Amino acid sequence: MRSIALHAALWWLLLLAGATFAPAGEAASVVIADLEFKPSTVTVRVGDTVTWINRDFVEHTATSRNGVFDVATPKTRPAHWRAQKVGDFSYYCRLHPNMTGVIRVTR
Amino acid sequence: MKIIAPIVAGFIFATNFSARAADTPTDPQIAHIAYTAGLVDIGYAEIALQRSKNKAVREFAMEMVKDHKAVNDKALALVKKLGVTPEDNATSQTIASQAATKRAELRRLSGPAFDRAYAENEVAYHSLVNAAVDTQLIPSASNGELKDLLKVGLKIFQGHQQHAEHMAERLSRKHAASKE
Ligand SMILES: [Cu+2]
Repeated sequence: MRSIALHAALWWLLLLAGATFAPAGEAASVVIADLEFKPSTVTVRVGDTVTWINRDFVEHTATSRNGVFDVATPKTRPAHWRAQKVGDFSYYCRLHPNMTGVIRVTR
Repeated sequence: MKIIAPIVAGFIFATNFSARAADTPTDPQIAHIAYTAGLVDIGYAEIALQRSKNKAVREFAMEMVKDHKAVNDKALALVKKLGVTPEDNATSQTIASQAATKRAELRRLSGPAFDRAYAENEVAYHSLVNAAVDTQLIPSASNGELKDLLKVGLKIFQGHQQHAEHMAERLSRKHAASKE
């Protein structure tokens, strides 16, 4: 009886860990380097997660022009956004608006 | 006509410090100019953080402090690694003295008038510095790593200029609306 409860608890832990550290359906990574989003356009499907990895020595944001997302992209850790509807989301950095990119979300 | 030339030259000298660096600056001078230009913008931001109550202006000022400090820290680490001592020069001195005048001007203002003056000065200052970095400092830099740092710095400062332009535009629209 105790070992079943323990197993269940472990499974829950694994599920939680999975949900936290490996977003399901992770599809696209954008690297930020020298004030550029690389690649500048990425295509993902609804439900996928976009990850930004900032390699610059200053902080940036990935901010959609239509207000759907505004993600801080610090130097210290990757930042994520999960695509929830179809469309082309053009985005920029609020701090350095000369940085631009597009997330294309398909079905 | 001959008399006008020195007056015009004097005007350019006073309003555009990049014109001062007619001779090619050396790497130690370039490092000093870039560092000084960064410190000056941090100085303006500190005044904004003391005087402004506007959220967008304060956020912009905090970003200026962070970004210019980050670039200056990189520059310091680089000159240390290269064994270069930044060298004071006429261009750095022109930047510093013009900034002192501007700081005094800003300190006489408060409220929305301060916010607009700060935003407009950020646009003007970044455009002046960016032109100097682009046309004088980058082409004159002989060390490759210094040149690369200036190039990344220029992109950061061009971003600041655009950000400042948006901020100045919004503040002046708000001002125009308040007078209607
Ligand atoms: Cu940025």
